Amino acid sequence: MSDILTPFILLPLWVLLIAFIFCILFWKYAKVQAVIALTSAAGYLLSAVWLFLAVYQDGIQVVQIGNWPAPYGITLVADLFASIMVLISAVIAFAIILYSLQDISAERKRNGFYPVLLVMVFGVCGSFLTGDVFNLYVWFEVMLVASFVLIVLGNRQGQLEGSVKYVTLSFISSGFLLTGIAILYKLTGTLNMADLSEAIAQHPDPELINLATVFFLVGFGIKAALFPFFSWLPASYPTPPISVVGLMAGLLTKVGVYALMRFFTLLFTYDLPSTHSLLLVLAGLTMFFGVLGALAQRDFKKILSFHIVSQIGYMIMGLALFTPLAIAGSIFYIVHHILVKTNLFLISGIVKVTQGHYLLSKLGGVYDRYPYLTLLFAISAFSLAGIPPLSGFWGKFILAKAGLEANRYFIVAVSLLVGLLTLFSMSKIWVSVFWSSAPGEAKGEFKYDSRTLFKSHYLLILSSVFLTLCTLVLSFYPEALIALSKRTAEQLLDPQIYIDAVLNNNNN
Amino acid sequence: MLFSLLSIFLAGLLAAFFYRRYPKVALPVLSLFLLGIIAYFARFTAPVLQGEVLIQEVPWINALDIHFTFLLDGLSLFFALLITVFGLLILLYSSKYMEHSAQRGRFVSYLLLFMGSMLGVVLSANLISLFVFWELTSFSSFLLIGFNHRQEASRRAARQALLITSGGGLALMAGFIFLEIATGSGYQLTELLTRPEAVADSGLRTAAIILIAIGAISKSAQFPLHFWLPNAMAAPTPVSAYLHAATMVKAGVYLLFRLNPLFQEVALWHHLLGITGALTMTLGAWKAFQEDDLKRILAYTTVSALGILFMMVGLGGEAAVNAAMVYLMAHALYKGALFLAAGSIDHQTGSRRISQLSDLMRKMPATAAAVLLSAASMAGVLPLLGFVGKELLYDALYHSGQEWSMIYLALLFMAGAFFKAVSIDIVYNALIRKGNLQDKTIREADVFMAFPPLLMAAVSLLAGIAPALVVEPLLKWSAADIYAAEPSMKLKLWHGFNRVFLLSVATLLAGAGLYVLRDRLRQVSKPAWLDADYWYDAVVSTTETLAKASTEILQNGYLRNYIATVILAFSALLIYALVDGGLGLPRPPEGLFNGLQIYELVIFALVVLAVVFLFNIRSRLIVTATFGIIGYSIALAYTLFSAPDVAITQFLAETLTLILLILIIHRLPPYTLRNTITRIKYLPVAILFGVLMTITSWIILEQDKDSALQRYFLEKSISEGKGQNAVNVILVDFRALDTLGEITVLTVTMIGIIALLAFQTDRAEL
Repeated sequence: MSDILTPFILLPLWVLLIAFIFCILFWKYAKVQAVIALTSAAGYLLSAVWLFLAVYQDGIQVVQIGNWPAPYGITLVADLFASIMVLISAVIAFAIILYSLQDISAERKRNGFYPVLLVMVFGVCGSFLTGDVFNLYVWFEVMLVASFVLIVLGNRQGQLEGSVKYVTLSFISSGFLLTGIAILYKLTGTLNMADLSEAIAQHPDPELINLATVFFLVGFGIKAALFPFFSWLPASYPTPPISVVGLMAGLLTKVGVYALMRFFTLLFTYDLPSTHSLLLVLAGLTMFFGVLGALAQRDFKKILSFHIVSQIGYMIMGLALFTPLAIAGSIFYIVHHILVKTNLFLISGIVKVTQGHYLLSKLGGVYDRYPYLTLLFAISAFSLAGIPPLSGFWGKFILAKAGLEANRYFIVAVSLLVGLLTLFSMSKIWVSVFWSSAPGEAKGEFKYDSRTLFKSHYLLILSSVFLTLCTLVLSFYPEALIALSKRTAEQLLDPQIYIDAVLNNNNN
Repeated sequence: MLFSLLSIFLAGLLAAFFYRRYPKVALPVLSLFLLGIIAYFARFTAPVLQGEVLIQEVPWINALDIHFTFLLDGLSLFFALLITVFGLLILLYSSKYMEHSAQRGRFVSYLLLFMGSMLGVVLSANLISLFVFWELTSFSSFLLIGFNHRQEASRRAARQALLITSGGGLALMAGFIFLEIATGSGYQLTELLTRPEAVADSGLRTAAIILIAIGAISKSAQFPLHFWLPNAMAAPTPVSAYLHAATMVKAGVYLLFRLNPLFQEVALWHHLLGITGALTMTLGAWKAFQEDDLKRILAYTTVSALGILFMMVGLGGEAAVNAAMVYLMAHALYKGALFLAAGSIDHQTGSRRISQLSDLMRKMPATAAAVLLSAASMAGVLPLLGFVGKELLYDALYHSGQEWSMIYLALLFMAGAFFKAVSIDIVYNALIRKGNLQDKTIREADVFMAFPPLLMAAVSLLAGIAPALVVEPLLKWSAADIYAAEPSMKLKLWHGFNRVFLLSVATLLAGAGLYVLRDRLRQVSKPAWLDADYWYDAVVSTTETLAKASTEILQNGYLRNYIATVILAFSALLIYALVDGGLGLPRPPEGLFNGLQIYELVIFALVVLAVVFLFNIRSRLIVTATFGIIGYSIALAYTLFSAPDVAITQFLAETLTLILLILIIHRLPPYTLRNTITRIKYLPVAILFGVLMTITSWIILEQDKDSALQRYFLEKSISEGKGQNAVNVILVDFRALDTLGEITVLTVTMIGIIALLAFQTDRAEL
């Protein structure tokens, strides 16, 4: 079997699947599960690095599952974009699992937290790697049901209510995607993405393809939390424990963004002026209304949740501009955003440990009491707000440059205004949580000082430090990722490379 | 040069850890270190005074053409020395001033962060690295203004300054990108400045000028974005002296100086900057005249002085630039000294309101001497550097011949009169007058605090007496870099009794007159909306109201609204796609009902009945159960198409999902949708969606593409898949990965059910 000759792609999936199975085998032993989860997270990270290096050096890696040749079987494809996404998802998964060891209650751990978490990452990884539209749908289902269970786990009323909204809108999204897949299959007779790319380009009736495009746009739009489909996100994200929120905030919507980028570079490029102008409008609205939503909030986690929506707008903006620099900007922005946003959620969890709240009005005094925590927050928060030279600035800068080069002045103006509003919102958190005095401070409501906080919650802090270091590398040495993003963008904008890699790989 | 910057940043980092713990060691070490930095820059004086330009290039981000390119010519050397020398003095001063602050380590750390960033601004020859440092100065200013972070006023001022300067920064960034698009010079200043014609030809020049001006205006506190600077006085006084008088607020002016060769032929550049500067100058002087608080007086005169500098750049020409350069130097000296002295006075007496001060000449002679000299320089009195500067300003305006110059001159005369009135106020009432401090014991400030302002004042005096010796050599090269020509500055204290001197005398008299009338003039009441802070608050609260309103519509907490929004947006897109594609309303496919079997009708009826039933239910539980009927009906349909595996999967999935949902729903409060009108509201949405889906299916069903997959599967399922039922082979072999995924989904659903049933809600967790 050729699977053995090219194991790179399957390795990350294998690691997660095997870990999942072993977690179930050790159902009664939460501690063993924790060890399995952490080990597999490390293994996943290593295999993701390996996969990335293989793709980086040798080009696109392709595996035909069961050795059925493309386009008949299911193909897994790792191009640069996919392997970058797998790598960043592994970084996040590792940090989250580390964090969860001290964050998640024993009761949750006993009730399947780790296996479900691993399945969710499994779904995310599969979505990045698949080269088949129906298989993508299956991965989405895996991800959906796992994240659903993770939101529910704990049975608190807020979680349950959030989960209903989440699952309902996700089911609607699945419905749209499935219909879209059916239409594409009916129109082209194929499910393989590379094959579809050719079939769509040659299809005599683009107006029929348009129908499928609408279904996919809405389906993925819901997943990616685009305007006006984002309401499930702020409704459900703030409810479960931080480890879950951090993982979802970092990865889930980005799978939607990934799918949009894949579909609108590989498949739906037959009518750029209409499709991508529409995307540009949605991008602007998403960033604008997302940040407005954040401004209206008074709760740490809710503010962060709305900012996710807003920043999805930036990623789609790059896709919509559709120049090499713009797509590179999107990719850079995605990586930056995943690191920073997950980290901010982790930090909000640590702040909560100190004072027992997420409400801005009840928090305060962190600046004096926990200088190192303050530093961690400052790096991520002001990176998110785009203060140079932190990583968010480079993302914003590249997109602004690409937009101005393409004469799309309006969207650039919107993106810069939204940047200012993001700073407004981040400085609000900074001022009320870090600078102002806490309401209960005089009564000595702090359980810890800087030292005891670290002693009792060192894993929480270490995982945040790990992500912060990644952000700092991106900030001060952005060269590597920007150059890589540019290369990736070139690969994405030339679908023939992808098609050749998938369809002409049948002989071995 | 990179090394010097990095070492300053590193020193800042170390200071955060060690300054507080080892003050006895840290302060001398840090001072020596800064002396070293000053010496490093001073070393370049000789070559720069020969007209040499030093350039250092350090690659950073090749992929974006962004590098650390450092350039040392007269202009940047002047600023570098200003920043480092003042930095050292401020450090010494604050070692006493901040002595009792618990966070003095952080304070010094921020100060060094600022110093490094500000040096970066004036040394960078790459627009983007300049911009990075530019924003870092805003950010360190934010940290320093908010230093007394337990006070609401400090927090508000810090956030306001950050938002205004960063907002301007965003405009500036766009302006820089335009310059790059216009010239393709890789953001390199040296190349860019030689190509004004490329900028002109690109059609982007107007946009670039406006955007860059917005950046400079916000940073240098020009009208209408000036208000953050007086509020920034919430910062500790050494910060006000250093950032908000001597250096950071001059960054905007520096940028105008730097880019002047590129735009000095453009009318917009001159008018925009000239008018903005003139307005700010007048407004600031008037506002300063209204204030009683020493720091606020100084803040408004700073705003006004920056306005003068903007106005002179706007006026243009060598004489104007020479005057601006000298005035900038004079201002840095007297304003820095005045701020520090104000800090000492506040520190020793506990007040900085002029009305509460008196007798300082006798109580704090050294500080008072510094105030006296500096106030005289501010008032433009002979023989201080301020006088030289003011004469040059008048002279440049008087001889300019530019259309606006006489208006500018008149306004400058007014502003000058206010400056003089303010100086008289400070000197007479705080220093000379006998008043309520007469009998109190007030000691002179510590030597570390008394010395720096005195030194600055002494330099004001020396430079005034012998300008040609003390300041001309460097300033002349700085000015030359601004108009990109040979230096033409010639300084002397005394130009004889000419008209310009008469104007100076007249200003002094007018100032004295204003001082006499000040009680009456200050009583003029003004409406709240004349205050720029009022507008800032209005913009902020409007934004927040807008945010609340839009979020209440988009995110109102009702799932049904979210669904309706999704469906409506989808429908709009689909209708557009249908109409735009000319697909219209198709007829049902022919032969749709041929061969219809009775059991198919039964399934259909089941589904329809369930849907009708659904519409009348008020319990979430029953709704969910009814969904189950639909799901099972569909599973039945699969069996009809000889796909028993799919049907079984569907049954399983349906059952598990139902259990999961019911477990959740029975823990939620009962359904809230009681009102019939609300229910009917969603009916059209549902119908619209149904119709659109039907139309789409008809259109798509008419398409019959011959599928290679289908043939392949049928052909290979027996020979290679070893199975009779092709659907079966597809599930377990051709597309086994899908099945693996589905198995996983089912397993996780089961875990979810187990968890929901077994979980003991622990109350300890939120």
